[in-house]
Amino acid sequence: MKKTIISAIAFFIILAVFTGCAGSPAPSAEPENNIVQVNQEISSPEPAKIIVPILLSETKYQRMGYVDTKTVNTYKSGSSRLIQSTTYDNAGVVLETASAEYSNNSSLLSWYDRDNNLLKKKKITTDNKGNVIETILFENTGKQVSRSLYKYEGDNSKKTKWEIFDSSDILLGYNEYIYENGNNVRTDSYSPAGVLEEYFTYKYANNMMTDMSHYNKSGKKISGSIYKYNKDNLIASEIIYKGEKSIINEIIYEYSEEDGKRTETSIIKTPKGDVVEIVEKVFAFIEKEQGK
Amino acid sequence: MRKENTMKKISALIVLISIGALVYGNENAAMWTRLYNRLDTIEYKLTIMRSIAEQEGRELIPVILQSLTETNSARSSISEITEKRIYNQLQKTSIKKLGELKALEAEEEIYNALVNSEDLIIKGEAITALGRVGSTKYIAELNLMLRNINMRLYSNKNARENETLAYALVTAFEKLQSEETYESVFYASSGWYSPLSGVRERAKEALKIIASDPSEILAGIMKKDSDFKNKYLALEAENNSSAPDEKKGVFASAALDEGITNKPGNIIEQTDLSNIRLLACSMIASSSVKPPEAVPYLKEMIFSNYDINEKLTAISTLGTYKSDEAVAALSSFLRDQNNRKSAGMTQTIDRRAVIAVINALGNTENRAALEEIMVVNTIDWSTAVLKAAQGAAEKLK
Repeated sequence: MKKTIISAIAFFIILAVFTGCAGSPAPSAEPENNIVQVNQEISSPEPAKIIVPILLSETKYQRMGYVDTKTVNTYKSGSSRLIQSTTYDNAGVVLETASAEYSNNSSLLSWYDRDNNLLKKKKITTDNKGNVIETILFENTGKQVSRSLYKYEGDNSKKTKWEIFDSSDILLGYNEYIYENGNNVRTDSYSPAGVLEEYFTYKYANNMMTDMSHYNKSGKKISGSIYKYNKDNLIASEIIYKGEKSIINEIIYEYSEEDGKRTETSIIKTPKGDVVEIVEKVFAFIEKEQGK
Repeated sequence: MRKENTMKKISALIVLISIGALVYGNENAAMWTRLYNRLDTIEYKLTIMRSIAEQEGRELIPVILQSLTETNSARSSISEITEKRIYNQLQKTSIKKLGELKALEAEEEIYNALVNSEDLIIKGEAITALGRVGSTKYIAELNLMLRNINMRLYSNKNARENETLAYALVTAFEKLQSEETYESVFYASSGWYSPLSGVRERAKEALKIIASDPSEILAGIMKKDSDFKNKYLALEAENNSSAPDEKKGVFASAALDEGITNKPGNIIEQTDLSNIRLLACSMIASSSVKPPEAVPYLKEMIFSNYDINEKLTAISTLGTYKSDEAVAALSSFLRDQNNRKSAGMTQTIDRRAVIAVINALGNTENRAALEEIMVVNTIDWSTAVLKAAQGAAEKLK
């Protein structure tokens, strides 16, 4: 069961990395309980089937109706394996494409410009549970730009450490993750010599993260975020602030469903209420065999 | 119900991971910001900036802006070629990312990079980024740049470089949606650019976005520009715009005036003027608002020595009116044809025009049109003409 959950999360993490949405995989926090229930309900006895969400497209609007970029993802038929991702501008001109190659426990992602020149590559390696254990970013020449290593605690797939190495593979710094009741409550950031440089704390209500605070090594608050949820426990808003309470941005989330597809729209606003950007993500759901 | 629950829980999975991306985006941003400031070598900073460009989140803006500010300040003191190349790569990466993140607070530094860099790619990225961040502060300067490129005033650069900049400017103006830039984009749509550059096509599309009602700007171009090709393109841009029908009608009428009053000096100009007249007719015919001031021009087209297709187009356009003036114009042409036929001047009659004018009169649904149609029956016209008159009369009764 846990493998199923992990593979679903791992898929999303790879997708997020692929689409440039994340640089570091999220620790598997307490909301696993929710996912366990999903899989209990939708898995059939033999062979076990699960439903996984796949991101079909991500459209970024500068203003309503005007597309800054639209990224369309294509997948191997009936699979959650991303094959290609193409980003267009408002006129439908291709700006960038990305493609993926898979081997047993790793995927190699390659990005190209509109003239099909290779821009960069990224290799993502997972362990047998589906946890991302290493990502390496390469220049178009094949030279390493940076490398991240991730470590997990025992069998429960909770990320405990993230290390970053430079192009010469020298350690630049690392994060350590601390858990309470299954939730990541604090992340400490260290220099290569092990000196604490800054830290983050997280608060939860009903296992849903409600508050993130970022402090410098002296304990002075640098920034923070407050998360609110709607009646379906979907994130409804995020308020991002600097220092104790100087609001920088607010992000409002809206959801809709049509033809079995889910659209998540996030609207990023300035404190004055001006819209900075609108991001629309469309997800579909596919059924796949557990572990495949 | 089960399916609904399942979907809800899958949503929870999506949201869990979305939250993960958001929350740990903060950690990423903090980590990379710290690493960027750890060492001072330019090679190191480029490596870190490339990794920063991989991340998402507006928390990254301060460190990227800091990097751009530093490289802008250091520009004048760098002379060594390899070092300059690394600075340029660093600037290009930071400018592109600031554009992606819609960092309006970076507009000044992005503009500094544009004007102070000699690197074409940086200039192109800076222009694109100014559009993406929604910067209106430097519109006048950017507009002047496109105008000068349109006019080939930057003769020290090669055409390909100018095309690259023009394309970036057009796309930036499309994003900024400022009417101030409309005219320069219009001239880019008819400029010297090669088809391969895509500048003209992109500019044509951008015109539809930059101004929903460009009638006033285009009327100025129609009046002042002596190039008939540009007059035609102005009419085409008006037609493609979202201007109200009423304004399009008035514009088409003014275009007919230009198309009729101006005399061609060669075959190309003759074609351009004909194209203006035909497009103006098409706009009036398809419009729900019929400009009365166009009727005298349409009448002139019918009576002038234009190509038969133009005559037929003008006749059918008048047939889309219901006014007494339009009926009078059509009736006067039919009267002229009736008189010629009665006088036996058959060599000057084009039967296609006679049938077209009868049909057009029928289409006006104005009973005043009946008078001249009835005269047709008293003359020895061919069966086809008489049949057309019968059909038109039926429509009008």
